Amino acid sequence: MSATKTKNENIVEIKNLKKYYPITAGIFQRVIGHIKAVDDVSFVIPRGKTVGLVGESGCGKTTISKCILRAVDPTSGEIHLNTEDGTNNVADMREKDLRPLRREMQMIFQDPFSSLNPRMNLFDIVSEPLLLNGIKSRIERQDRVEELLSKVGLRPEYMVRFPHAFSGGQRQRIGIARALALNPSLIVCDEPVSGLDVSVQAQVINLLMDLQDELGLSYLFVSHDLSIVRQISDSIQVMYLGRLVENGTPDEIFSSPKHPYTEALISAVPQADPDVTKNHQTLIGEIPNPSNPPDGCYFHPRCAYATDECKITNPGLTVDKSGRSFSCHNAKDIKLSGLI
Amino acid sequence: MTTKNKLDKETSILEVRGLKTYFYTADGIVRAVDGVDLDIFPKRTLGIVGESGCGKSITTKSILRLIDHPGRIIEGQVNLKGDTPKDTVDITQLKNNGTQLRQIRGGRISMIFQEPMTSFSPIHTVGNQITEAIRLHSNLDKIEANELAEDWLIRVGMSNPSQRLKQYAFELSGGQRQRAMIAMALCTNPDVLIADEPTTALDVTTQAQVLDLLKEMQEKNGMSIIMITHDLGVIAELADDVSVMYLGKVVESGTIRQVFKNPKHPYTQALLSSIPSLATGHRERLPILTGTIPHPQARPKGCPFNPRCKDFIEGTCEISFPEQEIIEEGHLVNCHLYNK
Amino acid sequence: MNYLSRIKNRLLNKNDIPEEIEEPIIQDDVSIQIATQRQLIWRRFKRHRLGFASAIVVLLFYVLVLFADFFSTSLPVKYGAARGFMPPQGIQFFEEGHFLSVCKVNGERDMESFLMVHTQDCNVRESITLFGKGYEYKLWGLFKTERHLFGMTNPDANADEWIHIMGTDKQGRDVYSRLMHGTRVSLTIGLIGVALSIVFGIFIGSISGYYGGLIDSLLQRFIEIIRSVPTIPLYMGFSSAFPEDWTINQVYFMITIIISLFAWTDLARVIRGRFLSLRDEDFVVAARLNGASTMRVVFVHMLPSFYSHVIAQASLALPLMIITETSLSYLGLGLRPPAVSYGVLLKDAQNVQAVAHTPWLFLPGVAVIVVILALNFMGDGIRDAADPYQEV
Repeated sequence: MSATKTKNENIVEIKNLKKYYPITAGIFQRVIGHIKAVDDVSFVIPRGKTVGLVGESGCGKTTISKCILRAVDPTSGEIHLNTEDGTNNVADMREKDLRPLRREMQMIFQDPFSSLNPRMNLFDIVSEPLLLNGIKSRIERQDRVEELLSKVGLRPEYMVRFPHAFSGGQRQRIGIARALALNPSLIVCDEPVSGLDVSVQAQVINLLMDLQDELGLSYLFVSHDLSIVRQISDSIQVMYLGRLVENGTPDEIFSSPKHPYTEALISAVPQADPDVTKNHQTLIGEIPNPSNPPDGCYFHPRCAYATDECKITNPGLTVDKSGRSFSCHNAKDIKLSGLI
Repeated sequence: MTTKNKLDKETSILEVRGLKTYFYTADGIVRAVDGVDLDIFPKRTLGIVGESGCGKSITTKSILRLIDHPGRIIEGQVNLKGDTPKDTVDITQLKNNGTQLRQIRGGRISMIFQEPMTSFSPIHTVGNQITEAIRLHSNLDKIEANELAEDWLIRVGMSNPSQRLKQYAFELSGGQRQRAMIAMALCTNPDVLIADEPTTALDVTTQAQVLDLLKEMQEKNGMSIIMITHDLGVIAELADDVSVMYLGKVVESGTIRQVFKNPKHPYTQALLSSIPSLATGHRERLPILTGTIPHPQARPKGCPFNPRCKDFIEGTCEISFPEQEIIEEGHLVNCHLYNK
Repeated sequence: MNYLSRIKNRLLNKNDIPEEIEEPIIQDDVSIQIATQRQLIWRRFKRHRLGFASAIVVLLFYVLVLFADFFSTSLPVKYGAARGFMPPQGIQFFEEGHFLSVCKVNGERDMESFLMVHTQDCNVRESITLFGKGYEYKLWGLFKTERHLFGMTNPDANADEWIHIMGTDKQGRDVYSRLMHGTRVSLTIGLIGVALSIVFGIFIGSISGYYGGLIDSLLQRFIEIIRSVPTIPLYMGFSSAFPEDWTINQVYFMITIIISLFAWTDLARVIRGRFLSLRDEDFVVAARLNGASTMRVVFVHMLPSFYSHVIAQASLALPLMIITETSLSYLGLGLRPPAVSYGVLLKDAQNVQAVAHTPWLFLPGVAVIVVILALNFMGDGIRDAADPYQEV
């Protein structure tokens, strides 16, 4: 792989990523079909920016984050990680080649109660990445843990305490401190505030933004909460049933969505302002079973604008003049409205 | 004692006065509900909003006398009004599991829960459970009850209602289960429906469907709804009146317009400003509420919010809990800032 | 902790303190916050009164195991037909100037029923000394000593002819001493058996749970085969296969092994289940993503969650071992005289005569019930105390 003199402007480039889970039946586990958790997804994460990945259950956003981190192995496709030492395709590298690259990408988990080992104190938890990556000296690790805990707003003397002494918001901070230990370039945040109280969510979101400004981190922010994604992201990717249906900046998405699902999603989000008028487009039906998706465009059974073509062919990703992409046959003809 | 809020409301159908529910645990007394007043009016929705530990769930469970050891309702009244003033019943005084109480539960006051999966019996069909509810509160025979159950499933927008009656809860999707639960709660034509975080576990688009359904049912049936949630957006969309709770006490109450547009209590203000809204700029840092919710056994003295309050008045706020003040008719707040 | 003082110094110099300092949620009790998991579990266990009391009872039983000879008054095999079927004789306090003493018992055979009839003659009396001398034995096989809890003051009097706290059996052997030795044998078979089954159980269970897939399926089928083998015919087969000339100890050892070969399956299944669920816990995933080796993930992250469950499971498996040994020996398939265990002792009570005339022979049964109940309650207590995510 070439080591370019100027750093590549994207830290991660995902091309045609697919993750299919086989469905088996019978004693001999014959494969009778596939769950297409991620179905040909491509996007980039620019360096130092936040990409929001938004969608409902079964859309594949968590699977994508697991593929990037190689917690699961993709079925096909490429995931290019551009670090200072060059570009590597993380998707199909062997585990031992992958190890040094793991320092560059870290994860923050959704559940603050299961993401920390209850039997380890904070020092052990936050310094484990250091220990596993060659920093054996206890003094060095202590210094680093002090630094990390302070950065996330926790008193360093808390390092002797155990996770059960802390609230949900504090535990998320501990998880963030752990993720920062090795100075990664990319942090995948998997619903980091969904399990927290409303007033605490703002603390953690602010912290993430501050850290990004200070350390130049890139984030992949996975969430179902559109309002938070809108606040923190530089660009948003909307997913439905394993496919990318639309992307754009938060302003573009919220004021002029190009895909009917995006429009429905925006109108479904309750706004805490009694004066907001919304284009009330309540979606009919339910999210289909991922093992048995509809033909053609996955969204057509619930789409108010579906035409015959939508029932047969899958619209690929169209990129328009302004650089936005969307996946809809009729985007040019329909007038969608976002938040007014 | 509360002064009555008149506006254009009729007299309340359910009122809670000075409710106190304490839990006597091995570690000490947890004052889950510590003197709560609520008014529920016919055909209006009261939203109870607050974060973890505020006691909103325990309040509604106390209304239905669903509190088990080591919890006890130690003080207060829950007055359910009847056709004439003489018919008013104080639910706290009824014999536990006696006939009168059982008539009220499911008959005049129904409840729906967050996790519909655990609200249904796994070994009875959905139809069985709905008809059971009908027959417990009416004189219909099995066939009539069955017809009524199917009728209700149609009303809640369930597809294939006759088939659904014969299915089990685990065979339905999340949204369908919630609809079935709403049908089960409403089939006895209750005066009040208590909804305890009914949409928290659902996808955003499904949540919109369920909220629409609740609004529609309220218009058609004329019942009142008590909606408990931590999601301010849901409250703004669905509720007419709102009570904000913190650590077992109501700190502010009024109509949606009054509280959301003109919040008076510092906690309400902090809560509203800590959620991202349309007015939030891109990557703007939201004002945060410092500190965390205190441990239930370490409740602060005086006003429970005082350690985190930006308007803390030394010598007053940590000494006594503020009396209720009227901001304007219908808008009440408990805060020393407004002491006349 | 030296780094703690360094930290405190730094804080006093006010370096790098961000504006929003978090406060711990429990204002006062720092000791809870720095308590390790083990300490938390211990606290919770102490509050479970039944479990804690039972743990003390179990501890007392194992003190008996360690000091069986010390507590005994006569050798368990010492017999004397003249003392057959003697009812329990009490020890008297403060009689005739002796702190503790015991009366002479004279036995005569009733010529009609042919039963031995015993009468106490309290004119003839011998004094008992606490921590007195008795028969010689090796404490734990190492130290020769003659000290017993109850010894005769008079060096010419034999404890095995005078002291019979729980009476005697048909051959005149002291039931109390046999009970002490039986406790030792029955409870150690249990322990060794449980230790072996823990080793097997953890090994197989963790492989099965960690790797999943085909390996897991195969191992589970293997476990099911083992569980479906009918045990009694198997034991009968095994015990008849023992060579005639084997010593009691060898037989004892083999029985232990055999019992544990079948008892590990429960533990293996529990451990496998826990491994399967723990494997996907976020903190395990986080460790793997940071490059932790399989060994580290298993030993540092996963197994420590099990200690309390393993202890709970073991304390529930121990009664099973004890009952199994008791039942086998009772049926004559396990230990046989002259070895002594609860089962062997209960075998002597296996007839109508015992019920009618010599009910004290059932006392070992009482011991079995007490120790098994105590172990069960203790296991319940540990299991209830062991949930890591509960608040203190």
